[in-house]
Amino acid sequence: MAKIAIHEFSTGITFQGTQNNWVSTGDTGNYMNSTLAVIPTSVQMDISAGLFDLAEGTSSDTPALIGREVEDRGDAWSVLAVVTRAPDDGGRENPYYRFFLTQGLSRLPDLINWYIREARRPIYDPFDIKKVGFHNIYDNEQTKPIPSNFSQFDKYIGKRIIPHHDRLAELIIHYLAEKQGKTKIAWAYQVEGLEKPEYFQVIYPASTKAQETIEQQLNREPTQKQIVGNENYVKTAITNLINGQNITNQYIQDIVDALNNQNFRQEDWENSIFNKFTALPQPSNQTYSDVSIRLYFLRGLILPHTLPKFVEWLSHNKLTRKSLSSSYKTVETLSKKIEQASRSDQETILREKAREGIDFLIISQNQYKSLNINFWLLKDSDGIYAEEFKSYANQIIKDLHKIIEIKNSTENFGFNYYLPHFSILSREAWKPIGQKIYESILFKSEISTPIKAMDNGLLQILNNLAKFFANVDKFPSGNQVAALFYQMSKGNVPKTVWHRCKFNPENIQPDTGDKNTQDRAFLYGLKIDRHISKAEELQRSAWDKSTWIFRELAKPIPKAPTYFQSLMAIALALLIGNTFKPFSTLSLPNLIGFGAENPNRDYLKTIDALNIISKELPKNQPQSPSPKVNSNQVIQAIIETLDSQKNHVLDFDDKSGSKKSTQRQKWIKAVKEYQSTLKKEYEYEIEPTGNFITGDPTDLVLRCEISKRLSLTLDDDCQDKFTNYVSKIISKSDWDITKKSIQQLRDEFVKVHAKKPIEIETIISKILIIPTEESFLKKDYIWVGKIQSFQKEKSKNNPNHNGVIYPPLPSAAKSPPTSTATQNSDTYNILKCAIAKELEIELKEKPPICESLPEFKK
Amino acid sequence: MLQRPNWLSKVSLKSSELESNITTEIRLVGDRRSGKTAYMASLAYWPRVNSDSPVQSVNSVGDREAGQKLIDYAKNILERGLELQRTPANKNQITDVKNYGLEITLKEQFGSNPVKLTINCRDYPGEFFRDLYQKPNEPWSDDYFEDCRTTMGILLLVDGTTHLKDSDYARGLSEFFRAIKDTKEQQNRRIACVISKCELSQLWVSRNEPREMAQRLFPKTVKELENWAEGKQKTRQVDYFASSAFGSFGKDYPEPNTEILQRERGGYACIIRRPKQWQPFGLVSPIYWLATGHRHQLLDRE
Repeated sequence: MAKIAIHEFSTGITFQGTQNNWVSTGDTGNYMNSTLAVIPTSVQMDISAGLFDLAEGTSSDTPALIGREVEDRGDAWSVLAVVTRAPDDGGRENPYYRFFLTQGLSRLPDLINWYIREARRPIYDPFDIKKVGFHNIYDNEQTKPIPSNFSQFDKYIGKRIIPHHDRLAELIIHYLAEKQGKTKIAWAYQVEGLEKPEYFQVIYPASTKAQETIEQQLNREPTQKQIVGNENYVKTAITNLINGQNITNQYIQDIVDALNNQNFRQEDWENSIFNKFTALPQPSNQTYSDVSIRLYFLRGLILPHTLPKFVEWLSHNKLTRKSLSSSYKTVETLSKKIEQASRSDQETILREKAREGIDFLIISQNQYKSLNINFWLLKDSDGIYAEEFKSYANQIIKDLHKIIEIKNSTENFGFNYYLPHFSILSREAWKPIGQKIYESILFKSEISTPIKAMDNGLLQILNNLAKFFANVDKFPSGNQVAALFYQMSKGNVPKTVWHRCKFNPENIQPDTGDKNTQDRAFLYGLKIDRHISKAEELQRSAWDKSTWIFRELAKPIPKAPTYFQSLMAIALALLIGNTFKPFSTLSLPNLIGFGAENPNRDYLKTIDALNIISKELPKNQPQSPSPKVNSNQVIQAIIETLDSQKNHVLDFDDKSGSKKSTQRQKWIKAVKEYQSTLKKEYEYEIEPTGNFITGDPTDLVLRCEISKRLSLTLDDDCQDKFTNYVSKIISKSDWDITKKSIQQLRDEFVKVHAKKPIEIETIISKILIIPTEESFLKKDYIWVGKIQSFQKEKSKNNPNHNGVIYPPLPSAAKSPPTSTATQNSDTYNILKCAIAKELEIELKEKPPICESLPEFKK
Repeated sequence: MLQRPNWLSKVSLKSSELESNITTEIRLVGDRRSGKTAYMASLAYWPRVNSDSPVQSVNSVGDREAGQKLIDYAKNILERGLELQRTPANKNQITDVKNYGLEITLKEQFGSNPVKLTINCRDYPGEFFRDLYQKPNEPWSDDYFEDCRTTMGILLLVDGTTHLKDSDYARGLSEFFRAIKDTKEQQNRRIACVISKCELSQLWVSRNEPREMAQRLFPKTVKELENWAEGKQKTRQVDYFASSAFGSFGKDYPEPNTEILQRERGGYACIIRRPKQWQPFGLVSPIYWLATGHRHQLLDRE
């Protein structure tokens, strides 16, 4: 045995009085009377974690003792804390701590023996001055061994609370705790109450009342807890991260260390860390504070299987767009910072966790396919997920390519045999799907046709995967994965996806089959076909005819001079090229990005895209008994949308004119204005070029808008990507109703109250907060947006806030039928009261709805 | 842009400019024994009996342990009539400061949805503020000031019975502004100066005129705050509130619901007198203002 150093330090206070009668005048915020220059971090961590804290609202004249072994990263101490209560200058009874400590575990018996026999039970005493370096030396040979008659205490072994009236000594309490065989001993002696009794093996209460209180507390927290590994560091790191503190690499390192520590299991993360905070994200939990958002984000990162729930939770909040985007911002900031910090993470465990999270997001999307989930997490440019997602698609393509290679080789084994060759399909979450994909490709003669033999479940999964990559991945590789999955599930690839694939020439190989080359690509040996709509088929047949003429005419004419042939060919090419340019823009060179930008071609592409919209949209409606909307109506709606002010007088039939054609200029200008609005007011990534092509954002928004105006079925994209714009679009008929209602309201005031129309119009604009530069009832999307805000503010009976104003019901109909409950005239009436109030006139018949709003009460 | 009609501005500022879910960060600072933890505990344990109150509910969110602790405090002071212990101070480690998350739901009004205020509030130890005026040369860890610097809402709790310490507070504030480097116009910040213990008769009579009360009791402190808020861009705002964690009882001649344990320069030390008639006031109003920049008249009148 040897001599050991016993250090000490105490709660730092300022104080007044004498040694026997002092009061605290406040904490200093530092420790005092310390024999150590620096308090060991492991000890400090347990103090900060409240593991020495006595409960509030308890008092006792007898000092309490806490014995605890602490260890962190090899820094181990045995600590004996003596807690004394004393008053402060405000009369409050506060606990003050004097800590005695010696290096190493298993030293608590030494500390107890020294404390009782040598030091004679010192208590907290601000007058007992101690200096750094002047610690106590104790020869631990004097420490009494475990008493020989200890067996008489056997009946207490395993008990967490020792009955107060049994009066056991400190050393016995210690040995009872030791008998529980935990790695680190913790006991409390003569305590009135503890902040965290669940972190002690044995507690000896100071009174019967204390015993009851502690028993109740333990009923609340029945599991005995122990600090695992660097749990305290992790807690601090997580607490600071969720509270938005500056992210230091140390926090990240603490998390990484815990992730790498096998003793720190998933349950520990759940129970000791995340369950320390509020309930898990679920639809009922609508608290979207920055703290909860950061908490659930971190939980999703550390426990990847919880990521889909987080994303779903955040997508489902019913916040306004502003706070929704601020929620995303919160995540983005944290995600970005973690990405930066994890660059130095040599073991890449955080990045692997992010990747696992992505696996779960993709695989579990089948569970929430019907819901409107926003996968923005994968799209933001610098976050840890987006960073990991960048290479994800390419690896899937390589995996699929690998399967083809296996298929073409002479020997092929089961999926599991090749696991090491795959990057994504072999990942834990992907394996079941990977195997199915592998088998269906391997056992099918032609992978590019949709496989009827494949089970429906797999078709559905592949279709969902295709949709996911088409929606989420902005890079060509993501769209190429989408294309492959579409090909496997449907036998062809939707045009928008095809266009976004941006195939390189090397992807595309000439095909000798019956397909046009521009509609077929070979991606690493996997053949994919573009979906051809009926409209295009019609166009194509015209094109075929033209090429037939071309071929016929261009055949060598016998005996004719060669230059004549050439001239003929050039003249014909020009003629046909001009006439059929809209179709030829679909030719391969354009699709794969060949050739320089050409204003003429750009314009023709636009016209072509408009043509396609007019042909395709009418399909998004019930075709029986007979479709209500035809191509001409779509064209008309496009013209009205692009030229809502009738500034340009667009004419669709005069569209292919020469460069100088005024119609052409008008179209370009109208498209440009439309794009500017989308870019400026809705911050979409759209450049106002005046042109667009099928599949680009302008095309997609326009499709959404026209569909909504004509009450056609909306594409998923409309809700996912453009909802803030599209929600402000109402159908043509609804806009007509709204316009009529507002005009009727204006005319009512003009007629009944002898006001000028312009005066009423100004007031209406003012109440709805229409920008002054906007004309009265011109741009519907501006008016609808403002009316929606007005409804949200005023009309609680109209939960839709749909931006439509319905005219008042005829007086005969006292209560509207249920079916028109949402079409009530509340908005009309409230607006009416607001106008009257602005004009300071009394309405003869005040609508009852106004009575419920305080601003209209007298 | 057109100006809104006057009649709209009062109501619509609340319901239109405000979203129905507002989250905000707050730092609760003030001298020792000003009642900071009691303020938070009372708020967390909001009485659900008063049907007139615009507050529908208050729930703990975030750190579960901290939330539970707040409820335990509240039970001790409000049900068992005990005095709270001091909040321990560790000037080197801001992470020891408890972070309380509360979700305050206001009842729906004027056809608007119920407003939810989610606040994340750090309850600083009183020594932090005391040392600003008493020991400016022994500064606390810069993490504390950085924490305040990056927070928009500061709730400065001033014990209404400590008017003799006005100069101290003014000096503390001036130090505080210097330490958080709040010298530039660009910094957006609101400080709610909240007078606590307003159930006491001498304060209760002025509870509806908090600005005047603050001006009368703490002229130097108010001057310091007003100087700070001065500026053309109105990026810094200060407003005044009256609050009581214990409240008063009786309708016609209300009596403070407190038992005074000690009176001295450092203020009155009180415990609750009739726990069953506990009715705090003015606790949510400053938080609403900090979160939105608008005063809520019903909360003010509470």
